[in-house]
Parts: sequence; C-alpha cells; structure tokens
Amino acid sequence: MNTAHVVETSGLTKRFGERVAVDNVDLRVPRGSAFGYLGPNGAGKTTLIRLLLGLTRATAGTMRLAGRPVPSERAAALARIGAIVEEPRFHRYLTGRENLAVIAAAREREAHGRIAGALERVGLAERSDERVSTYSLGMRQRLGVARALLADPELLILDEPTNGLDPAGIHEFRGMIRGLVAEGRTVLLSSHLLDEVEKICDAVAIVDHGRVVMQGSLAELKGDKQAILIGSSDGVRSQALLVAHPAVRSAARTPEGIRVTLRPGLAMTAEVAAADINRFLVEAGLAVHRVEPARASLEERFLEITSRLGVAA
Amino acid sequence: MSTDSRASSPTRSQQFRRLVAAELLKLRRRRPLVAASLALIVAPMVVSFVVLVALHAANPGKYGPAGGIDNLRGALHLLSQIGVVAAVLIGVTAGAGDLAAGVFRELVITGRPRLSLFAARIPGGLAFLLPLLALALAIAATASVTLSGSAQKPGAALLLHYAAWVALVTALAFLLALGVSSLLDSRATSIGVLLGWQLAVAPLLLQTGKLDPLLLGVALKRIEPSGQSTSISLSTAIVLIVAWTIVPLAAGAWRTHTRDA
Repeated sequence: MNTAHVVETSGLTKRFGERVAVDNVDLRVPRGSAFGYLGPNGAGKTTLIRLLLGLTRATAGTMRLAGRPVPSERAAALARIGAIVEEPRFHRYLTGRENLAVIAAAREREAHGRIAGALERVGLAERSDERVSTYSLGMRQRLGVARALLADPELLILDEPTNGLDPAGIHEFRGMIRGLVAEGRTVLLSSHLLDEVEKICDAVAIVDHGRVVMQGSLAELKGDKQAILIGSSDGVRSQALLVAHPAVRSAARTPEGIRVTLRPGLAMTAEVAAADINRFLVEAGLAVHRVEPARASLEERFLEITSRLGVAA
Repeated sequence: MSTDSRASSPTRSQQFRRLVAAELLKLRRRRPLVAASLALIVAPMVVSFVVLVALHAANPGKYGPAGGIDNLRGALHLLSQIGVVAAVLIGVTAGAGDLAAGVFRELVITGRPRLSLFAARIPGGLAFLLPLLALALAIAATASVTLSGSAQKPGAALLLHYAAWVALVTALAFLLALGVSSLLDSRATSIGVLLGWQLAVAPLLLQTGKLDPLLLGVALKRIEPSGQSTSISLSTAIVLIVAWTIVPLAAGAWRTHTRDA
C-alpha cells in the first residue's frame, strides 16, 4: 500500500496508571524521509515506538503502519518494518550470523538470503562468525541495524540509534541512514540529541511530556520566522532606526549583531528586504559590515518551544 | 527495496519449521546446557552399567550380571529421576531464554504471532531432549541385553514399554517447565519452583496419600511398566497427565500472548 504517510497515528494514548506516557498523539511520518522524533529523556519517545511495534497495547487511539491498520493487520504491517528499540539485544552465546538467522526464521523465507548482505552493509561480515559476547556496543548497534534490514524494510524505526557510538561511528551511521533514505525507505528515529536530528532528518516532531507539540519539515520548524543578522558601526543607533523600518517587526541586539525579525506577509522577499534595510542604514550614515540571513537552529526552536511550555505549565 | 520477494508466500508449516529449527539452534549452542544434559541423561546410564560391570567382575557371587531386567529397571528409574532435572533445565531455557536475553521483543517485532513463537518452543525443545534420551535408552537397552549373563533378558516389548514411559516422564517435565517458565518469565524462579515441587513438595504430598488424584507422580506410577499398584485408575491417570500437560502450557501461552515485550 503506497500512502503518503508511512506512519499515521490519531489520538494515540498510553497510560501507566495515572501517568500518561503518550498523550493523544497525532503523528504523520512522510514516506521516503528521515523523520526525527525529538524530545528530552522521559518524553515518551520509546513508549510511542513500542506502541507502533505492538510491544505494548495502546490505551486509546488508532495507528496505521505502511497504510495498514494496527493492530488488526499488525503482522502484514510489521513484515516490512525493521526496528531497534532501546539497546539492541541478542543471544550473546550465539554468533552475529546465528542471531540474524534466528530472527530471519521468524520472517519471510527470503530474509535468510539477506543475512550476508546485511552483515556486509554494516561492516560486520568479517566478525559475523564470532560470538556476540565479544562485540563492542557499537558493533551490537550495527548488528541491530543488520537485523532490521532483514525485513527489506520500507520503514526503519530506530530508538536512540547513536547511543554508545563513537564520533566516527556516528558519522558512519549518518551516512548509512541517508543511504537508506536514498533507496526510498523511510527512517523514523527517536532522539534527544538535537544536533543529531538536525544533521540526519528531513522532518521532525517535537515531543514533550508525551505530547507532540510541533511537527513538520525541518525548514518549517526552523524558519517560520524570517530574520536577518546585521552588524554596523553603531549598534544602539542602528537598533533605534531599524525598529522604525516598515519591513521590521523587531530588532534585538545580540552578541553577533542586531537580530532583525521581518514582518510576516511582506510583499518583498527576505533578500530584497535585507538590501532595502542595508541601504536604509547606509543612507542614515552608518557603516554596515554584515548582512546575512539569521537561521534559527533546531536547538533554538526546541528551547523556544519547550521553554514556552514550561512557562505555560 | 526489493519487490520480487513479496510475491512468495511459504506455507505456514514451512515457516513453523524454520522457527523450530531456530529454537533448536538456540538450545544446542548453549554449551553449559548441552554439558548438563549429557551429564544428567547420558552419563548416568554409562556410569550405572560401568559400576554394575565392575561390581560383578569383582565379586560375581555377591553381585549378579550387570544386565537383565532388574538392572534395566533400576537404571531407567535413575534416568527418570535425573532426566527430569535435565528436562526442567531444557524447558525453562526454551521457555524463558528469549525473554532473559531481551530477544523476545525482537521476535515480536517481526510480526510473527506470539502464539506461533511459543508453539515453536515445544518441538524445538523436544528435538533437543529426545535424541539425548534416545541415546541414554539405547545404552541402557544394549547393556541390559548384552550383559544379562544368567539373568533374565528384557524382551523387545518391555524395552519399548520402558522407553515410552521414560520418554513420557521426561517430556512431561519439559512441557511443564516450558509452560511454567513462560508464565513466570524467569528461568531462576522457574527452576526453583519446579525442582522444589519435584524434589520436596510432591514427595511429601505423596507420603500423605490424600492428594493422589491430583499428583502427576501418582499418575505416572500408574502407567509404569513395573505395574506398581496405585490408588487411582488408569483413566484417572490419563486425565491427570493430560491436565498436567495442558494447563501449564495454556498458562504459558496466555502469558506469552498478553505480556508487554
């Protein structure tokens, strides 16, 4: 089934007694993207993944995976889904290859034929006949990815996948994720690492206290406010002039310069507005040495959202 | 992503056979379990007959031939007692091994029905247990016939009867352990409960004689080849054996089906 969204949830809720771990979540994961499920530790990321995979039952709400309703068509939906939930676990007395064989036996017949390719892809082919008890955490993470690939997955669900990886491993992992997305697969990864999500993902949902507080493409999340960073010979005077400019909504002095937020719905593009502001300041006798778009990082946006929630709470 | 593979749909029996093979792989690659099983199932038969041969050789007047029906009966009684311990170890490993290793959730993620995962443990475990048992029985049968000397040789019918009885006793212990460990989710607790029952509680209850219609041991004695008299009828014994098989397995299956993975 080829729907626009490979994961769709509506009103998904999971309660543990009085505690609500997943709170009325409506999630849409676009097909063929790397999607980040971003939130602080304890925000309910793993619980949501466990719900999607049928590891625990939802208290309320509906889910569709790969276009199929879950749990009613769970087996068919999961046949094309690979996942790592928390730290990947294995029978440590079995070799890497034998562990994959055990899981392949539970999947379709062709899964067994994918073992060698999956091991090769994650760089474990040479160590695959050694017991998993001799593997490092990073190697077990990679073996977990290999196990997920046995499904020839259209959706990969990875829970905090870079935990325990060294910087080189993280770099390699990012490349692997982008490679999988380039093949047309969808990757849903949960993380509390903003930088990680920003570097890997195309779209993001920000979750806090079990609720999705915002979701959309990375560009949408970061750039819904157009802003320009300006450096001039006189910051105080520049700021006073800028707040009077018709294209400017606000002007704030920061260590990097004056951060100018443009009015929403301007008739001109941000580039034209920047040129106009530059001319405006120069004609006022100020020397302008910096005019550049100020892109909010995901971290700034995340902190903005979560601090707002904190105030609201 | 490949698309060609999706058209193929192996039969359920083929899928189930692969699951069973995986269960067997998990058991036979556990070296401590293999060693314990050999020590508890095969080794006692070898040691028993070696000792009997040595005793007979040292003092033929006092000790009769190592083979014969009586020594067969004694060896198989020993096997039924010690083999049960091995069957319990195999059963709890098959029942709770995936959960203990954290691999159960990885199996659930494949979408394979949980009851299918549970069911595969039964033939998988028996495929590990029964060949060892067959080896032990073959040793006992061969020794009891070839070393019988002047003693009465066991006939084929008796040998088969004993083989079936010992296989039933140990297989039941395996199934009981599998069900209980799947229910309790813990190997250590299950071993404690089962061995405590087998070695302490059941013998005490047997002494009282008041709970005979409920005790598996009494039912198994009823169908033992030696034909010991018991307080229950054959039909009661069969019902009791079936109940002791089905109830723990059903409880384990239910827990496997409903638990958070």
